[in-house]
Amino acid sequence: MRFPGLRLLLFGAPRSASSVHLGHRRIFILPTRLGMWFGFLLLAMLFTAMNYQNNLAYALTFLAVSAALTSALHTYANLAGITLSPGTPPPVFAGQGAGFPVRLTEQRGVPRLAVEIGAVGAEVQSLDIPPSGGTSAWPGLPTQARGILPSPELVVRTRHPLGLFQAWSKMRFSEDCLVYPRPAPEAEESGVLRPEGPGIRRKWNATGEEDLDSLREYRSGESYKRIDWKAYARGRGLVSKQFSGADRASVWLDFEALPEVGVEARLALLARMILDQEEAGTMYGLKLPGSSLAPDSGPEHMHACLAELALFQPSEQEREETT
Amino acid sequence: MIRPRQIREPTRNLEIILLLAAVFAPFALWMPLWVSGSFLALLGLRAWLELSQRPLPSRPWRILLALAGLAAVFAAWGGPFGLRPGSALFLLMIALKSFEQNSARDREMTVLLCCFLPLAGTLFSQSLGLFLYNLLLLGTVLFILQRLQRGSATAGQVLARTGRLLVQALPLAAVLFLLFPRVGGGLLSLTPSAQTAYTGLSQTLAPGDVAHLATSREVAFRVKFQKGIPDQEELYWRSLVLTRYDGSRWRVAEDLAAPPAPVEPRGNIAEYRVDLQPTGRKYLPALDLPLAAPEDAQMRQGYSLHRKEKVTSRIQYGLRSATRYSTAAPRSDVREAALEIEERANPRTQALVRRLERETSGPRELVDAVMHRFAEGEYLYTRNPPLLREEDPVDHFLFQTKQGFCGHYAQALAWAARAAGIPARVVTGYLGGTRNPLGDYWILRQSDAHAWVEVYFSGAGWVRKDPTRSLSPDQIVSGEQGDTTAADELEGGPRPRGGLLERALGYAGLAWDAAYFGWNYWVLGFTQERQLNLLARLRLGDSLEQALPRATLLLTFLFLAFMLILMAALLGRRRGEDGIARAYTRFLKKLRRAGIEPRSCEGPLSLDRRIEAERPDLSPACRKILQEYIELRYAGQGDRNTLRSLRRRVRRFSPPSRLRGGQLKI
Repeated sequence: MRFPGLRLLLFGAPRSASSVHLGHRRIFILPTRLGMWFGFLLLAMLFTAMNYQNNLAYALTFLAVSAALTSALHTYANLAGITLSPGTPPPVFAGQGAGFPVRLTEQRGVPRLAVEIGAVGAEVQSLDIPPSGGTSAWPGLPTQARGILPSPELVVRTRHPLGLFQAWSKMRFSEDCLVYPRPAPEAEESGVLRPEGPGIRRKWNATGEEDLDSLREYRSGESYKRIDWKAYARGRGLVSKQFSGADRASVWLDFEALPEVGVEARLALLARMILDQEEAGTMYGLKLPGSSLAPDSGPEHMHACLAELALFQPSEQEREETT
Repeated sequence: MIRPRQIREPTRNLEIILLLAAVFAPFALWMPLWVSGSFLALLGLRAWLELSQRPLPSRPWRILLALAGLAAVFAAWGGPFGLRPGSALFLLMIALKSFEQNSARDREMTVLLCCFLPLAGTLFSQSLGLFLYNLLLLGTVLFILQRLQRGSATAGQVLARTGRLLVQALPLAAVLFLLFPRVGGGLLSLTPSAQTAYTGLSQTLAPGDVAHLATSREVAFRVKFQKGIPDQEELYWRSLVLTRYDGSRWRVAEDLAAPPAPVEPRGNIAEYRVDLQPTGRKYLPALDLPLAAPEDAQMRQGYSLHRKEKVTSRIQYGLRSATRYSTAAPRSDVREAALEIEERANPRTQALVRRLERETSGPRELVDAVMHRFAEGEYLYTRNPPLLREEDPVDHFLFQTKQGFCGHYAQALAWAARAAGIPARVVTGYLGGTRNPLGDYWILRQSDAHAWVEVYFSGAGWVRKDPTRSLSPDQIVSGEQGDTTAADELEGGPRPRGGLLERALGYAGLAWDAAYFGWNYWVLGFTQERQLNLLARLRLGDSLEQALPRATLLLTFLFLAFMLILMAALLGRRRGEDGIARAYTRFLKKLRRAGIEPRSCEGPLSLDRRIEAERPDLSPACRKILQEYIELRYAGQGDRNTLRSLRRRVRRFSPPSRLRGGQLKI
């Protein structure tokens, strides 16, 4: 890397796993449009001073020139020395905005004001970083399709203090965002998904209503809905309710059992079903061509199922069905 | 998910309106009433719309108003060119611009354009007070520009930052001021013309005329010799030759056609360049006698140089002059013009001439005898002579007042020579000059203005006769400097006396005068000449050609040095910034080298657990460091010693670098 800055400028930022420190090799600075106008104005002022050989005009012009150049240094210094550390972006459903968390920290002991950060081509947000502190930013991107949304190229820039110069730096982190399929509309409305509809096969139907059977110590992974919050309030710690019916009831959500409406539509239906089953607190398993997840419940299981859907690669035959 | 609040872009419209009013204020002194009235009316309307939250006028209205302003300027001045019409147009347009405030860029442009008006203001007045006001305006422009940026800073913080920015900008501004090459003016021929008053020689000479020049220290012109530097006593700079005499005034003979009789140089020929200050007239001073006229000028009868255009800005021209010469016989009309006198005037002088004619053997002796009379008689050289009578002024001077300066003596001699039938004329110009040893050039000031006489002797041609030179030093009234200046009075004046308040006021007056003098001397008077002096003192070379490239180099060097120093200062850590964070950062850096990548979300405790799991060999050392860090940072315990210990531990912590692949398998 002999000319890292040049490479950064010409070929874009390479992906970096760890945090990025903004040093002189990464920061570029150019006059803004306002700065260009100011340049023209300063030239006009200089010519006026020369034309009239007026020392006061010279003095004013030079002070303005000097202030503009000094402000360029301030603009650069406002960005230099900031460290950006990526966080893991939380998964989102297609259509929602994906957020890529970044933590901006500064160690020089001066506040960094009006630092703008955003994905290239998307909306930027402006924030201040307190001296010797940090602040979090969520550069966002809109999502359309399920799958892995690669971490976007981020731009950090500032025009502080005068707006005559803009210093900027671009970077790309390796923290990608997982995009779940957009869930189908409410199950009842879709018509396909009734409790006994296609795609839901009860392996073993629950007998009678779900009765509170017993309480046992909460195990991580269990649904929050099962926690006996009243007991927790009484100071008995986290205990989860065990339902005699629900314990045994489990359903299989099967890709193959759904009507042939296209791969993405089926995945949307499955996503909706996963959400509904999780809501209802039942145990559910997921069957996709080539993989399956055993029945379980709880947020971890739900995310695992949705991730399966997000990353599902349809076979040739299934793809044809889409067309 | 918490997203940071988007900070709305501030409008600051009211601040911009106030800025415009402040920028305009001094122009009320210089602008015609209708311009001031229109500007204030527009600004008032803008302020009213802003305060009452009413919509701004639409685009057609703004264009109409702009055209009306342009038409008014054309009607008043016939065009937008020149200082006054240009400023008026700029004022009207910027007032209209304030109605166009749709986007942040409009507002920024309005504020930016305000920079130009203080500059125009300095062309109207160069007083210290106005300059300070203009500096304040520049600061306000920077202040509002910052306020227009997004950000959550308060006005006080922005004000402090503006002040800091200006102070940091001062050194570079000073360097630019001192070293930026001062090239000649008149780039766009927009130089102020008619209104400006020039000092210089007048086209006519009457007794007492040169006196007002004698006290002026203003520079008339500068001369740089390239070859054949003449002796100091040969430095007679000829500007005007006054041949016509009407009984009271000597005038240039405009009707005598050029060219003059040829000149034959005898000996030294000087080559030199003259750098002339604006005079508002057409004559060009030249060393006696110029051999040829420069390009855009012609040589008149009497060997004076006459330019086609008036000299309204500094000009330079190169010349060759013979300091010893003889001239051929003039044409008869020139000769006759140089003999004209009124026959009945100055009877006592005529009687004197008749007596001298009998006593001397020829024209040369006669002229010498008149000059001898000045030396022997009780004549005095003074710059404050008594007024001469209107009739027979030569008699009055020669026989009664006997006091005068160069103009009096020259006129008396020329008149006497003419009475004796010797062609004679008065020459005005400058005498001598001061050599500037640092810049190796001569400075001629208005106080060097001089008048002398040229007489024609057949065989020799026109010969210079300077009657003032024949006076001996004890005939010169010493200490006569014409009007004493205010500065002199203050310098030698008594100390302020009286009560405390009066004394304070007196000293304040002295201080103000010192500031005023310093202002004139150091800022207003920092001309190309002074810049050259400075460069010579910096050993960058004596001549313009030599010094300017080096000055530019020095300027570049100082510029880079300034940028680097300021950069280092800005990027340096703030003092008092906690060493705790610095030590911890250093520790994390070392850990990273050891293969443990600290996560941004990770606190010291979880980091400790991970180190224990991943690199148990490092754990004991790390734990001590982390414990001390927690103690200092979170528990609010620990003192300087703990910090010192933390620093030492971090310094000594040197983990073996990352284990190669294969060695570490989990």
